[in-house]
Parts: sequence; structure tokens; C-alpha cells
Amino acid sequence: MSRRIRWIGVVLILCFGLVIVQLVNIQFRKANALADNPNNPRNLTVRYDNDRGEILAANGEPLAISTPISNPKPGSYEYTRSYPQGPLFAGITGYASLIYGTAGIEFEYNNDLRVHTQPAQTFLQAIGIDPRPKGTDSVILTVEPALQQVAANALAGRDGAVVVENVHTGAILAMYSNPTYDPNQLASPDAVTEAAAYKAINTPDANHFSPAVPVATGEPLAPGSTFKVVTTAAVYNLDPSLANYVWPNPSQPGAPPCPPNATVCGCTALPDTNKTICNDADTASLASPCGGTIAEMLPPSCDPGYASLGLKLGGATLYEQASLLGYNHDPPIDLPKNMLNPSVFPTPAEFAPSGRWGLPGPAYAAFGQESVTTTALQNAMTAAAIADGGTVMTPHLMSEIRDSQGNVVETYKPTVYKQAMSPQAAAQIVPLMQAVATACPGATACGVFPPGWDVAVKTGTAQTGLNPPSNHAWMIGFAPATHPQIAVAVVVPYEPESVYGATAAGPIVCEMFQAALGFPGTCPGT
Amino acid sequence: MHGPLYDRRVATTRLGSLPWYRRVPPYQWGPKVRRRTELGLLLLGDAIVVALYVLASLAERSRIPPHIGWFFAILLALTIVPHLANRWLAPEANPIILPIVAVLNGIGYVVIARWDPADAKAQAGWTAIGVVLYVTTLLVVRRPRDLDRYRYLLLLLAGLLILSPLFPGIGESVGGARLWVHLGSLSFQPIELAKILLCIFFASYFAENKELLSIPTARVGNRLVVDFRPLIPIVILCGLALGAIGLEGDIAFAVIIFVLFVAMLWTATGRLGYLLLGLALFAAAALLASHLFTQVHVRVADWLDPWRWTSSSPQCATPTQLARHPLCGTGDQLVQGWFAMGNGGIGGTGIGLGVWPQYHGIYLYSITSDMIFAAIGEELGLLGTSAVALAFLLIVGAGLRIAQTARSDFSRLLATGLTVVLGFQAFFIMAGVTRLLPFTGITLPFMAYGGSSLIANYILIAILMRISEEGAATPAERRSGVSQPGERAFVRAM
Repeated sequence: MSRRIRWIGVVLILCFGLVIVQLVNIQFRKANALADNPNNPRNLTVRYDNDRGEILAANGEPLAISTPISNPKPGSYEYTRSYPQGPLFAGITGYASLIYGTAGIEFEYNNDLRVHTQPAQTFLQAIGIDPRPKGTDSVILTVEPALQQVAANALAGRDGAVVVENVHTGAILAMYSNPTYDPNQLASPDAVTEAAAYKAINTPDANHFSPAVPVATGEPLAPGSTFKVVTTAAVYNLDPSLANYVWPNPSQPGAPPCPPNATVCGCTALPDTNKTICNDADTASLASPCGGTIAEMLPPSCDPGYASLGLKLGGATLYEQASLLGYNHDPPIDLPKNMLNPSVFPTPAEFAPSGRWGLPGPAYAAFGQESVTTTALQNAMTAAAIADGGTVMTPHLMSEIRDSQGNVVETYKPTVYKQAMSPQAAAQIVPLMQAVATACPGATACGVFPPGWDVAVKTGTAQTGLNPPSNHAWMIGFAPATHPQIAVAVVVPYEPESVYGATAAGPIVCEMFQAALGFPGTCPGT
Repeated sequence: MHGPLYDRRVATTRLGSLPWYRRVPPYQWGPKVRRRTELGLLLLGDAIVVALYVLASLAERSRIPPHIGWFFAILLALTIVPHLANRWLAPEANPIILPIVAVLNGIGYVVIARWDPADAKAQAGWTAIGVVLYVTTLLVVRRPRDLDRYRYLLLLLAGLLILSPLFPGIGESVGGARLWVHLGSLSFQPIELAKILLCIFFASYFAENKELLSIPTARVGNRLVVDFRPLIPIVILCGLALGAIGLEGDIAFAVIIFVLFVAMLWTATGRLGYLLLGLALFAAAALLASHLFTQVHVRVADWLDPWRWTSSSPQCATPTQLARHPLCGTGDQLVQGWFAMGNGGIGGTGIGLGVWPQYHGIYLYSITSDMIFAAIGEELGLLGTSAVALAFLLIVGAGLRIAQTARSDFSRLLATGLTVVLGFQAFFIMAGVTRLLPFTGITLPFMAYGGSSLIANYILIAILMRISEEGAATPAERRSGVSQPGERAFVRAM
């Protein structure tokens, strides 16, 4: 009996030991989180002390500031949040509303921006005897206000998005979307203004874009021929046996004979259907003939050639390459999920005969039609990957967090998101994209840039399939082509049928290159 | 009358034949080392309590409490009276139990007074009654075996107590559980007393039947197995008790009584099978209870994720009350406790500086009873809460030590049982607040507000002290150099 009584003692010691372990967990490990929890009633008094840290651009210009209200009434807020740049950075900073909470950077770095317990400064604070000081941190972003302003001016009120990214670090230098909104109204102390503004940013416009979801990060659109860059990457990276593929161009003298499966020479016949894909037209008689090697097909953006290449590569290979570049995942940028949507490339199963897109699917997908959708951010990441030897850097907005004393709390370190392709494959694509701007006549971006500019680009004109017909005008690229620094993606969606990627998005890309890199000359078309 | 060296064993045997009013024992003069230790510890505890009381008042109202003299006098009286009773009635009993109980009770009082002065006044009164009952118990129960003799009477009393909340007229339902008995303006939780009576009965029954229950005597085929027939009546009794307690909705006490039963059965017999069977039964009952009782279901849901069921959680923030999930708001109490403990951190905010949600001056979420451990966690920090946990562990240690030195199987089992009840009651509420186990509204012994709990636990430690006194080596034993009585040597060999 004596031994069993001892065992009962052991059990009770274990029980009370567990209690103490859990107490250490609550009162030491989780203590700060619990004490700072916004629902903790001890913070209710703090809640009116709604001081927030500043959000600053890369050059130190304030994007969001909190100013104290003189003589606030007891039980009312003590600070007003304002956004000196108005609608220019709404798609990045988001807002800090007293009623609707936070969005954008205000949400993502809320724990740093709001009043919170700062790191201990003295020994007594470090061991938990003295309370730690409370304060706010400032978040410094990577965005350049000058570039952002150029992007906004270039879009000139049209719906669309411009993304400029540092190819080596993934730092977002500019990211502007239309429609946008004025976050000052959402931070208004007047509840009626706030409610109206909140309703407005969640109301879709004629193109079904809501201001709350920026086009750049949250609206995947058919990428059109810009996706040919991905198809080309799939060839060089995953299926090099197709690198010397030649699509016969019937208009060239001494052209090779038409392939036996082409119903009409110069057009690609599709499996499982009697439809054909011709260049720039629905029938062979209207089509402008094109073809040749891949290097000859990319500059003039030869649709039937790429459609045939897509069928040869197969849906699974295209899916693999697209996923390697970041498709089918939320972009890894530091913005809240409700502002992001993944770019989508269909799974191989959807290209099965009974699948959603069927056997002809890869032919359309290879030049960015029908089943593929891409955000401007994803297209910028694609261009940056080719510029940076196949590496997709994680795109990011925060560069540094400083506490109220100005000490650096956190610095962003560039990280590799994915290795999308071999450096060799990337290097093979660069001259092809350079030719898109220089191989005149015939190349789609002829005359978009002043002569002598060292750029590599790809145009895209995606048919929306709507009635009346409209196009998404795209251009992606990077510069300088020989020593890349920045990648740009521009989309101007739902333009009239007569508008092409080169005509609508091209001049914007040109202006972004000039503003970011100081290239000489004037961009044609401005 | 027995010469200079007084042999208590002889004296107590004689006393049995006297009428009760002449049984009052004489005071034995002479040095009492253990009592001197006890007095020193008691005064130290009183100093701690007075200091806390003054600090709380300084923090809250920036002044020394005007009636501090009275407070000190009453505190001193409430600690010195049981100490004098020990000197008189149990001079050789354990010296640390009473000081720990006094300091826990005192800290509990200061914390209750912080949040609810009315409760504190009542608690002081209950403490006085508890002290009186402590002395009375020591006086009436002169030998542990007196309790053994009346086991069926005590069982009957336990049964009545357990069933009393179910009687119409005196029973009262509070918070979905029918645990209270009302007699005039007094309300009482009878299970607190019944737990001690059940302890006594189990100890008595198992002590008598331990050989039958542990040595294989029944023949099944050509094998000898343990004859479990003596177990049948007590299992039925225990089942009835658990059923009644379950019916009243007092899940926590049902678990404690069950743990007590299994622990005592195993201690008495040493058959591992009983332990495993008990565990299996417990698992089945827990599963059944979480389906049968909505109260249990709610407790388990809140245990798994209280944050999900707070009033302010996203899914509970619906515009109309009707559309809300029925569990919404049930997590508030636990989460508030965690917020408080987190706010306390290691050193605590300091007594008098805690914050707790209130509604028109009334502090919510039972801070003086169910959540008192969290309140201590905020104001006295991790150091305070772990000190409280260690204090209970010290009582448990003392209780089990008393069991080891007890002079009969009955006393040994009784001391074990009482320690298990007290220890597990403290563990269950601490584990509930810290979310190691589902939260059950059970009192933290000696600290939480509640008269029944306080007086029952004072009686409980009085019995422990009585067993301790009997188990202490007598002067005759000490003189002869036999520090361990023969029976204890036998126990060791077992």
C-alpha cells in the first residue's frame, strides 16, 4: 500500500507540474500576445489611442500618416489617419478604417503599425518586472512615388494595371491599378462618408472590376500572346527536343511543304474538332501567313505556329512550366489574401478528351487564349524570371520596419520564390524578346520604342470573346536587355477590337522604362 | 494520573468508555516542537496576507485601509484559534498543513475583497465557521477509528446530502446545474460535505475487504481469480452516487468521486485491473456524457477552441442575436481568464492593479469563485500562480506522508482518499482555467468564494490532522528508540 500511495503522489506531482508548465506557456510564452490582443478589454482604453505608424515610400515620402486630433472628447478617437497621396497608392497601402478594419499594407503589417508592446529597453523590462514601452512602428515600402505617378498618368484613367519590379530582388517599384479609390474617405471620422466609401470600393465598374481588388494583383485576365514567352520557356526548359521546331511559312520562297495535318496551309488543324487556328483571322484566306523557327515565330507572334507547338508540348508540360513560374498559387507578395488571386493554367486533366477544355485546349493555351488567365503581377514575375536567369524572386513591398525611435526592427531580405527554368533556357529567350522590338518590319513591337533602346519585350492582344468584340492589350518586358534591372507588365483590358497590345500597352511600357532607367529620347505615341 | 510520561494510547482507550461530555481531554503541558514550527509559519503567513491587503488598498485607493487594526486582529484570531486547538488536541500532528491553508485562505480573501467586498464579508464569516468546525472535528473525532465505527450512518448521511438538491422546496438550480440546497436565507452545496463522508465510507469498506478484493479466491475452471462479489454493493452505491451527481449536472464532482473510488480501490488492493477497468469506464462515461449533457458538450467545445466561441469572434459577430450559433459567447469566460493571466505575465500587475470586465460595477465571469485563479494570475503573475500550485502540492505531499505513517489500513486509506479529493479538486479547477482540461465550475479549495467548500475543506484537514496525530511516534516509542512502529516496518517490507 505504501508504494501505491507513493505512486498517487507521483501522479499528483505530474498533474501540478503540467499546470505549472501550462502557466509558463500562458504567462510567459504567450503573455505579450495575450496582453496585446485587440479583444483584450485591457486594450479598450488603448483602442481610442488609435495612433498608427507611418507608411513611407522608398524615398521617404509619407503614404499614410496619423495626426493627433487637438482636444479629443473623452471616449473618442485621438488620431486621424490620412493618405497624402490620395488614390495613387490605394492598391498598395489599403486603408485603416475605424469601422471596416484594415486592408493592404495596413492589414498585412497591422501588428507593427498599431500601438503595441515594443522590445525591452532595460534589464527589468527584459525579465518582465517592468512593463515594456508601447509604441508604433513605421513601414518603409519599396515603391517609388515618381514611377507610380508616371504609371497613373500613362493609364490616363483607363482601367488597367502597371507593375514594375526589380528583377534581382523582387522589390515592387511601382504597382498601380485602375479603378482605384481615395483611402482618406475610408479613414474619415465621419461614419456616413466612411460607409459610402466602403460601399463604393466594393461596387464593380462596367468591366466588373471593384476598386477594393486591384487589377494588378487580383484580376487574372487572358494573357494573349504574352503567354508565348511561357510556351517558349517550356520548350527550352522542359522539352529541348522541340527547340529546332519549324512551322512552315507558306509565304516564304522555298518554304517547306505544308504539314500533312493542316487542312489549309498556314493554319493549324485542331484535334477533336474541325476548327482551325490561323494568324490574325478566322480563315486561311484572310490570314497573314507566318512561320519558321521559334526565333522567327516569336517576334511576329505567329499564332498557328505556337498552337501547333502547344499541341506537341502537351497540356502537362505547359502546366508544369506555368506552375514553375507561379501560376495556380496566390502570388507570394506581402498583401492580404482578399487582394490577391492566382493566375490560372488548367491542370492536365482538364485537357483530357472529356476534360473541360478537351484536346484542342493546349493549342489555345499556348498563345494565352481560352483557358489561361494571368494577373499583371504574374506577368511581371514571368518577365523578371527570364531577365534574372530563370529565377522567380518573391515579389515584395516592405523593405524595412522601424520603431518609433527610428531603430530598424526588420529588414526585408530578397528570397527566391522558385527556379522557373534553367539559366540557359532563360538566356535563349532573351534575344527572341529583344527581336520583338527590333526585328522590323514584321515584329509586333516595331516602333514602340525609340531606336537604339536595349529592351526585351513581348506584346499580347487577348480576345475577350465578348460581343461587341474587345481585346486585353498586354505588354511585358525588361530592360536593359543585356544587363536587366527592371521588369514591367502592363495590361489595358477591354479595349476596342482595333487596339493591340503594342498600341495601348506599348507606350506605357516605354514610359516606365524611360522613367525608371532614364533612357534618352521620347516615346513614340505620347 | 499516569505519571510524568503520558501515554495517549492508554488514555484514549479509557476515554471511549466515558460519556461524551466527559471526554474533553486534558491539556498536556510541555514543549511541542511541531506546534512551535506551526506558530512561526502561521505568523509568517499572516504577515504575507496583511502585506497583500495593505498593498491592494494602496494600489486601489492610495491609502492604508482604515480598519487595518481590526483586520489584523481577526486574522490573528482565525489563525491562532486552530493553532491552540492543535496544541491541545493534536500536539504531534503535521505542522505545515494549517499554515499553508491559512495563507491560501488569506490570499483568497484579499483577492475576493478586491473584486467583491460583499462576498469578502461572507467569506470571512464562512472562514470563522470553518475554523470552529475544524476545532469541533478535532474534539469530536478523538480517534480515526471512531469514524470507521459509524460508516453506514455516514453513508446514509452522504446519500441524503447527495440527493438533497433534487428534493423540491430546498433544491435550487444555478447555471444549469442543480447543486444547491436552500434553508431559509442560507444556501449550501451539500456535495462538498458528502465527498468527505464518501471518503470515510470507501476507506472503511476497502480496509475491511482488501484481502478479498486482492487475493484470488474464486475458482473459474481450474484457475483461481479474484472474487469480485464484495465489490458489487459498493460499485452499485458508487454508480448511484455518480448518477445522482450527474443528474444534478455537477460533472466535476462526479469525476472527482469517481477518481476517488478508483484510486482508493487500487490503493487498497493493488490490482492493476481495477485501474484499467476504471479508465475504460471513465472513457465510456465521458463519451456518453458529452452526448447526453449539453453542458458537457459546451465545456468540451470551449476547451478545444474558446477563441472560436467568444462574442467577438468573426463567426459570432452577426447583426442579429437570433442568427448566432448557440455556442457563441460561451468561450468568453475562459478567454477573459487567459487575457488576465497574459496581462499578468511573470511578475503580475501587482495586487490591486488588475483589470477585469464589469457591467455597472459588477465584475463578470465569476471572478471571485470559478476564475479566482486567473485573477491571481493577473495581479500576482506567474510567480503567484505557480506558488499557489506548489502550495497545494505541499498539502498533497503532507497528506500522503500522513497516509504513510498512519497506524491502520482504514486511517491510511482515509488519509489517501482525503488527499486525493483535495488535490484533484485543486488540480481540476487550475487545469480548467489553464485549458489543460475542460473548464468546470468547481471551487479552488480555501481560495475561491464559497461557504460549503470552505467549511468542508476545514473539516477535511481536521481529519487529516487527527490521523497525523495518531500516526506520530508516541513518547514511549521515541524513548525506546523505535522510530518506526512495527506496523510501519511491515508496510515497508510489502
